[in-house]
Amino acid sequence: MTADATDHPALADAGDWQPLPPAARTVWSIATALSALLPATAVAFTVFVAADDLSLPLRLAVAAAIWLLPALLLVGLARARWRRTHWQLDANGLRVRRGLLWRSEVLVPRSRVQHLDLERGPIERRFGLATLVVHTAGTRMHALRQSGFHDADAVALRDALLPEADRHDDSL
Amino acid sequence: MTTASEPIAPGGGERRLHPLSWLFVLIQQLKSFALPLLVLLFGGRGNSWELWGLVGAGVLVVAAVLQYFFYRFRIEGDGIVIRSGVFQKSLRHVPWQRVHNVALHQTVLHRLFNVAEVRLESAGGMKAEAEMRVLSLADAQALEELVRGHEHATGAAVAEATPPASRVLLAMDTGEVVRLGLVSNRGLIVAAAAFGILAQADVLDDWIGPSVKGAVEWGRGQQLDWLGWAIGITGVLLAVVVALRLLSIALALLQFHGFTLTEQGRRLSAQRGLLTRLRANMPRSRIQAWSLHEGLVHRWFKRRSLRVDSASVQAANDQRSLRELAPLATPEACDELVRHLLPGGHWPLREWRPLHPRAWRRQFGLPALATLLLAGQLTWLNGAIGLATLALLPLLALRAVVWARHAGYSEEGGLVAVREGWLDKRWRFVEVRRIQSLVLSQSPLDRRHDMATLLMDTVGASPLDPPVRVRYLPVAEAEALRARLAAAMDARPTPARTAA
Repeated sequence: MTADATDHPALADAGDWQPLPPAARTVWSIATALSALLPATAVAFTVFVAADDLSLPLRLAVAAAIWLLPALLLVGLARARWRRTHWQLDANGLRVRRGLLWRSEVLVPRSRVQHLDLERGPIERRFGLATLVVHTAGTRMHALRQSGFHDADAVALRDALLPEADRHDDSL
Repeated sequence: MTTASEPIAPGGGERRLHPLSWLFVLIQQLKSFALPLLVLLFGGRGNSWELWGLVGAGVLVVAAVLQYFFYRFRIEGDGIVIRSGVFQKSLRHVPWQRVHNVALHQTVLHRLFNVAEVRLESAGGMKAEAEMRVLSLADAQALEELVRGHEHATGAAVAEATPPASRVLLAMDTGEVVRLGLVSNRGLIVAAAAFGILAQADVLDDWIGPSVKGAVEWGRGQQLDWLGWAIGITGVLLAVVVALRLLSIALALLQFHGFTLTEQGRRLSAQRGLLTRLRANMPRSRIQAWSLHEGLVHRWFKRRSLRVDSASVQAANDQRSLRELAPLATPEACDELVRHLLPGGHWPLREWRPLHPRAWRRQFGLPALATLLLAGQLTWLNGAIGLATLALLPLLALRAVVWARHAGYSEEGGLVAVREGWLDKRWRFVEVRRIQSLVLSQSPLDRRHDMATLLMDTVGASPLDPPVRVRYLPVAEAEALRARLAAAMDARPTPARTAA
């Protein structure tokens, strides 16, 4: 899973739409599966206990379905979301294109970046990924948060987007 | 330490607030504790409860007096230094340059003692940089002058000799404020709140209920059966409408009496209020986005209202900040104001471009679907009379067509503008250099119609106003517009400090 991290030089061909690394798909799948399985456990267990007039195999099957189906569905969605997420660093700034049904393409110009955060969760760390948060002074889009970047890419993006020291914030 | 009688000036010693400030701090604290105290007074009948209430009040008084003794400030050349705190000391340095708004607030009590509450606000923060409760009026005005003076002295205290003359940009007379009351729905909001309280307090049953019943009974007493009913109900409705409007007018008079918008150098300041007087200041360059609104009643009076977003976040939900440049003014006056305050000075825009030719269908679709569902349900429940709901459909279609004909966008002279609405018309516009980010989005329906929405995000956008966004644009046009805007945003921002 981390194999392609080596053959992916940071920002080599910036300027084209870039997909997220396959490791991001894995991380998103794991994260969604975990977040779906935990609450489903309680429901599945309750159903298993409550439905005591059914035969044991049937009860087991129903409980397993309740436990697994939402997780499978959500993992499928996460994978589709991964497929549809692309980013690009061009002359203007950072562009991120994402969304399955409601699609959006955000453009944060380099000159409007206020500050940047890099976040690395425990699962992300294991796969060498990072989340980039680009803060602007805006209202609805005050932070553009995108997870699933290669660590090296995220660091390079941060360095490329850092506001220049002598910028005068005339737009505020 | 400098005594309070000396005028405020840079380089002076440390000062305290007005000697009476403990009283206003106490009132403020009582306000936030008002509910528990009322519960104590009326709820607990036992003696011990009253005793505890007394102890609580005593603690508050001591806290207020302590706060007065431990709050000190010093004026320096480039800002104000404030020391405060009894146990947890804090030292805060607020540079004049960061101060966006100096807000003066005077209730009747403040005016009685000739003092004012002063608030220094900066960009972005959720809290005011400094809240001075209270200063003598002379001190408050001196502080206001200092901030203002810094604005045009640009750091050096040299040019202080000739403060630019102030100029009135807009003044509302009483007739205009009454019109504002008629236009606004302030009364409705208060009435809704009052209704909630009255419902609790049985006033509804004891007083309002019988009078409504009386009116209906009177109508029935005229031996006219359903006609009597109708007259009775109409009378009640009419009374409610008139009462709400009167309430709105009273509130408008209270809040906006004597509204004046003045300009001094690069600073705008607005003053208003009948009993509680407010004065807010803002540098012109802090205006982020504009919002022009013309409702149905506005149009009857041939008036519009003009609002702006400023860079401070709290401005959105705080009535003390300068947001309403023109609560109500003639369209010409609004245009004149915009032209005067916009650096480029292009307004009104001439070239409006229409949306997607099928935009009206998008406005029609969902309400029509809802109407059909409602009609179906009503017919199922009440029989054929439910089909009358379908009469709404032509109205909805008319609304959608009118909406689409008025809707449009424009991009001209470094300004992007969007207009929407049918009975209630709104114009939102923003300078391109003030845009923070661009979001192009497509819902599933958008994709079917080959449309897209372009959102232009700005600083401090009020949640009350629609965002600056163009809906139902043909995709190609939306992408072209975004490319043009992105290029324009990337160019070096035009200097905001153009000579006024």
